[in-house]
Amino acid sequence: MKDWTLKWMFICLLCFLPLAMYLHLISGQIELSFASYLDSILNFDSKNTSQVLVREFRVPRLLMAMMAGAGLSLSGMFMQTLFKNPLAGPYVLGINSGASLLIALSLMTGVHFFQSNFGLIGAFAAGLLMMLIAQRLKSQITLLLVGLMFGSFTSAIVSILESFAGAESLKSYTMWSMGSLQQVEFGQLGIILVIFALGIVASFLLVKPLNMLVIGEKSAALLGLPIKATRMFVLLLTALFAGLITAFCGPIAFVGIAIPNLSRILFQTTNHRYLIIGNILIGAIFLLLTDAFIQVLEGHISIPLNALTSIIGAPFVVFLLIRKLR
Amino acid sequence: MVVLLLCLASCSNQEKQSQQTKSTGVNICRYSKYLGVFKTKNGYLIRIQHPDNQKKRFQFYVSNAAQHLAVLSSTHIGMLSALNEEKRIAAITDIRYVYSPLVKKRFKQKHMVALQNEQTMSVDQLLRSKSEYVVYSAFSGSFSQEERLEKLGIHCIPNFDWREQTALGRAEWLLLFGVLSAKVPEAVELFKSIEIAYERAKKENVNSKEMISGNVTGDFWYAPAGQSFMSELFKNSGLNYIYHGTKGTGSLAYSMEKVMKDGSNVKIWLNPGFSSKNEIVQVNPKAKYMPFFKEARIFCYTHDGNKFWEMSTLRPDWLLEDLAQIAAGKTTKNLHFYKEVK
Repeated sequence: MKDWTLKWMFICLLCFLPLAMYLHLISGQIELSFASYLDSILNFDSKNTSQVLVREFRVPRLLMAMMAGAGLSLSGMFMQTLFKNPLAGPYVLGINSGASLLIALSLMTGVHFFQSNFGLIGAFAAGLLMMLIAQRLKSQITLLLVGLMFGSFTSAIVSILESFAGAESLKSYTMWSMGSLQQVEFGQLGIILVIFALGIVASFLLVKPLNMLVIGEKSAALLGLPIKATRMFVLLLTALFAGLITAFCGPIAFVGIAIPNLSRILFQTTNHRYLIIGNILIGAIFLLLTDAFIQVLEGHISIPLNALTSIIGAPFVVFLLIRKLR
Repeated sequence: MVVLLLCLASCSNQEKQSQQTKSTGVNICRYSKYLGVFKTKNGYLIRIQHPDNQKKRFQFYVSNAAQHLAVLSSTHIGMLSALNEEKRIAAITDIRYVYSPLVKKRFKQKHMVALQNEQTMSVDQLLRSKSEYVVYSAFSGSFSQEERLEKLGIHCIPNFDWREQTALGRAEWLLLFGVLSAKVPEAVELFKSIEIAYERAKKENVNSKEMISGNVTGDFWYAPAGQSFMSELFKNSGLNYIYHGTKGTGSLAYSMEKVMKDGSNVKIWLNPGFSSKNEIVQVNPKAKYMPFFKEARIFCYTHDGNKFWEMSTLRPDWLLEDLAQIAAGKTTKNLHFYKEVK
């Protein structure tokens, strides 16, 4: 695709992003004035219900939708490029399994510590473990298999915990596993934004190595790409994004598989500079619109985030599979 | 000739049996929608209607007390305890959820086994308990072991007390355990006293400050719907439940935004599911932004959840007394199930 076409597409997406943000903000059940939005940021009064709604509910939800959409799409893209497999996603390394295990332990043993802290520890530990294993492995496929096995292993432990858990703990865990953009507080946004921004900057440092990986590991190594270091850097960034999002929002399905593929189909390029920008924009817009739709429906029916992303994402993955098999 | 004689003998046996099981036609249950207990010549006939399938009806004829019972829900233990029939309990699901001190003691003395889970329970363990009947709740719609257990001669009795729409309808399932332990007159007597106490505790008018029930799980606030059993109980205790006017008999799932707005004048918060404010915030940090988190008096039963689950179905009068006391805003020191959450 020509450069100017790509640029026009990016301009369109950039214009659409504020519109999606606006739609997300106004989709809530309660109508709020523009002044409430301004005051909640500039002149916050903790006794004013409307301002609390904006500051503690709507703004964190909006920013988490954007960051989760962009972050998962990026980490999915990293995994797809690394494993040269369009069906790889951010969770193939078992990052979410680590978070799930600790969250299940927290909920089902009754040790109530902030869930996101447990999730972060679990995701970080899983990421670290996978990086240690990756250092010793030569083949990407072996790494992929280790990730899948780790996922199965943790799922088995979670199943055992579930069989002993009470009804309330089971419900809490099930709800956590359905994903949510509403758990983050305004006060937590600062640190999440900083980590996310650092991840984005680091992603652009990976443009060249990722472009070289497209031609295959061996050819890339012949061109002087340090394969192990690149792999570690890719894994680190994937773990950072997937871990951060899983810890604060729970596992969000299909975004990390569907959006990178959609970006590749739309932009028809293997240049990761464009793919990174595309994934950030499309991922953010996709999750903003999905969550806005959930908010609109909230008055009539309560749909968990994961259910809707799966309803949209699953047919897309099937489409990809059929296309690939053809 | 031998065949003919055998046929005649068999026919006369069947006739004798049908006479024994022939009911008087009078159902001694007055409130329950799904349970029927009929007196027969030598025992009782139990009829249980499936709540979701009009064509499905369970029928049991009981002439003697069961010596060994497997009871798969806390409420069953509570009802047998109320009749002082803990000795018949031979199998339970999980000792962690038992309140009755005597049942706990008997479990320690290995007079009963723990089957863990209704759906995945061990048949070997059940056989070891020598249970003649399994009373199950069928929370997930059906009881997967039913057919296999019937083949082994173990009768499976469903208990749909949790599907009843009235508090007294739920408590009336006590009569089922009265039949199984051959203590029907005692069960009838106890139920009558509960009925009188319940009617006495019932309030005519809603007179409390605004009240909300439930808590957030995941992204939604789950609360009893307006036509549910809990909502009726709130009304009968004089509590001004803000969602009493909603439709449905199950639970409501509202967004936190809606609850925040609706709950701006709430002064009583019931059943958050935790026994301290600290726990509420640890599990759901955003609860602290709810206007009623700071301003309302919060009450829950979780400080002794086992007692609540074991006893509250049988004792709606106690439940009503607790709620009426909370509604009146009086001193709340002598509550049966509830405790103020601080």
